[in-house]
Amino acid sequence: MVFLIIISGGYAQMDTNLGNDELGDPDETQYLDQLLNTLFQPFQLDTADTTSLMEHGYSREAVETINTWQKGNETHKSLKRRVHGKDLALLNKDIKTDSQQTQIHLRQRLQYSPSLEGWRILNKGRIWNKWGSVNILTEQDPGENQLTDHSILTLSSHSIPGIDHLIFGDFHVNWGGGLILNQQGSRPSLNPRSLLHARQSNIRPHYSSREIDYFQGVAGSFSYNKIQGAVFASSRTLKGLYNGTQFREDADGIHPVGKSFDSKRVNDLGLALETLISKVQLFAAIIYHPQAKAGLAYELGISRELANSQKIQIHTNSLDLNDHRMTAAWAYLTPQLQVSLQYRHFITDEVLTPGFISTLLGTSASNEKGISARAQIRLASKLQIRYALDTGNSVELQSVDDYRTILQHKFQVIRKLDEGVFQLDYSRKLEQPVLEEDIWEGQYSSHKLTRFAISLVQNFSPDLKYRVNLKSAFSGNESALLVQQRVLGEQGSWKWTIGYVRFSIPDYTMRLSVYETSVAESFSFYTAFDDGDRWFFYLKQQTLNWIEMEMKLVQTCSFEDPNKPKQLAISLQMSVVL
Amino acid sequence: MIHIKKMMCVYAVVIAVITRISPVFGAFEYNGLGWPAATANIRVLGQHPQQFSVNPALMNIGHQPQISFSYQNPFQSLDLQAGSLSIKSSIWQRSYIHSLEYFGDEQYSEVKLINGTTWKLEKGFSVGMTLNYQCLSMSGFNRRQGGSLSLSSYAELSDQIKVGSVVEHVIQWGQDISLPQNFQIGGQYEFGPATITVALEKESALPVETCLGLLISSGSFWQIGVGYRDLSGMMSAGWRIRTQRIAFHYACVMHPYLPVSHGFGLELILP
Repeated sequence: MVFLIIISGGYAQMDTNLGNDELGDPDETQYLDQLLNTLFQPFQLDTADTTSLMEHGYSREAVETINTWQKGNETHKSLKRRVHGKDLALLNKDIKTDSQQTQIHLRQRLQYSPSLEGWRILNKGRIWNKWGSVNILTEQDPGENQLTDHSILTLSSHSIPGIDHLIFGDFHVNWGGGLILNQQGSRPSLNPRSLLHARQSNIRPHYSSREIDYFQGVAGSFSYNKIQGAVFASSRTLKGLYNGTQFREDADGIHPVGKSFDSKRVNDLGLALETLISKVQLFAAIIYHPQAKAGLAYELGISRELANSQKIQIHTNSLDLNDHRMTAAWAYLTPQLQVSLQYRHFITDEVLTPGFISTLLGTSASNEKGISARAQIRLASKLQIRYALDTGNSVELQSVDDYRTILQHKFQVIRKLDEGVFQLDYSRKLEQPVLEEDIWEGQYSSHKLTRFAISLVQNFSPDLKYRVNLKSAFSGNESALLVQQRVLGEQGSWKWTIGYVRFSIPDYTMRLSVYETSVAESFSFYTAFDDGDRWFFYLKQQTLNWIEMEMKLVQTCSFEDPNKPKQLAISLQMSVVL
Repeated sequence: MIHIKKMMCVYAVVIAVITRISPVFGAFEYNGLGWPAATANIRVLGQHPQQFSVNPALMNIGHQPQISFSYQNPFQSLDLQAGSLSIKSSIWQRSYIHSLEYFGDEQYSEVKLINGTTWKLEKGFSVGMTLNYQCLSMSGFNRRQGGSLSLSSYAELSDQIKVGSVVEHVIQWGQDISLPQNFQIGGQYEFGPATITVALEKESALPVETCLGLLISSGSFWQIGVGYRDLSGMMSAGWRIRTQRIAFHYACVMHPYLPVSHGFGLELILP
């Protein structure tokens, strides 16, 4: 009897607890969290004790500050005001990780353009919380027979013990000065800082429809005492075509049915280490690439902070004076004045493949030397002036076609107005290819290209913006002109843009995309080189705070060939953010 | 004899212009000799009814009704006649422009009818639209006519700086005439009594023409304008006198190869 009473009482209590739990948190997230907490014991800023904070990398002063902060009822912002230097960088990272809620992004895009001869379908999905993220992408280009012609499944986490960041799937590697690895998006801009390499051993997930220049496998970054590093192992099948013994990856990524491509499996292993001793940062990376002639490639780098806001940085892939790629940079960086100078010297028998290390002279010219200089002055807070110089000369004659020189000046003024921004760009490029007949005739042909552009953005109200760009190019007797106008408006949950472009561009080499400051500027469609015009209409509506519908319509018309029909391109996109 | 000489000269003018135009856009389009002709015939910016007929976004609401007559003698000694009538009015807080233009002689003529209006999207920014009807007649050929729609915009960036743009004949109706699409964009800078206007004009597949105009005003009583168009090499000059209700103007255009053209105008500002 007593046994029965105890059992019935016990059941009654269990039912109550279960009911409370269901009301408080009906899903099972808490159980997963508890399980992961037990397994990995993640660092939590609010509850971490002194030992955990010290082990996590905070200095003694910062640990004391955090302990004091934990006792009070203060915000993260007030804590950030009291922490400085490296402690602040670490704190920002911890706050970001701590505050990440589970989020889901889904995006589906349908795009039609006459140049594509069909529809492009893109599906993107991303789920992340404080434990990590999952990225999924599938894409089908016109003519391709599979929706998953290009697909990505990448897992990424910042919460694995002993590893700062772990990526399983598709990823990018940005290491050192890019002398042994392709550095996507590392082409120098007019910004003086672009001649320096700030993040020496960076890895990041690949999450775009671009089908070249990424790795597939596993990558991780780690920190151990004062050493930071990254390691990866990749095995990826490339699609492209063989030209003799040279394999060229298919750059546009469109693999239509009926067109045969060659496949090539590429295996890579890599390790990069960097450390900061006093003000000297040392970097070393090694890549093992079994298919390459040398097999093993390495890169060494040294950066040093000098007095008076100066910095020097040297990278090399060889200590052999007759066979190396080397860059040396110096910079003076203050808020008002920034100056940087880079000297590069590439002399090697190894012919670079297209899409590999970016060189000023072009992809097939593996030997070159040159200087790049950048200067930026900020006069008051409303005026910024930038200047850039780039020179390139062939060092060693491998083929006559490769032998040439380039000299390029760029000048930019950005003026903030009361209700907008004014920008002026001027550039002049002198290119002297030395052709075989030139050598015999003792004459040198040259190609000069001058570009001039002005841009104006005017904010008539918080809801209405107007932008006009005039871009021109001159080369010999030929000239190109492009006038872009856009009106951007916002009303409630609606956003709209109407744009008109009138272009007269006689030659592909004179195309003016160099001034297209964003993808949106070129309306996300190819840059025309013709005499014609283009209308653009963009509409976006947000519904229920978590669904966004977007539509782009572009109509292109050619005056050069009036019999050519007008081309209408459409892009529809739906985004869901939960 | 005089008639033969005149015919020869008229055809010389027509051929001279047509050779610069793609054969598909064979229609000879007369650009007018109203007050804008004094300042390089820039019509994408300005405050004259004939400029409103190209870019209606320039019109401000609340201005008094305005009527402008213009008699023109294009290419002196060729006995060509031209004229225009432009009326600007405001109804229910919206400005409208109506314009009728004629050019030609007993052998050849062009008639153009324009109706336009404007929408002010924000303070300092307006867009405009015109509906156009054009009719060409040449003796011995069938009359050709067509309609089109043009769009324009006008932005006042500050008291001194203004920007305007026009795309003429964006949409066309009528299969028997092809009106060349014309894009114009211009910027205007005012300092003291002077106003400098620079405009780029691109007609179909023709090269870009840069137009430069300078207008000097003394209060609102008199104005003097000069202009230059780089592609055709035309130079222009003119004056305008305005009282409270009435204005007169004269414009003169000098072409490097063709005879001088003259335009006279009378404008009425109704109470």
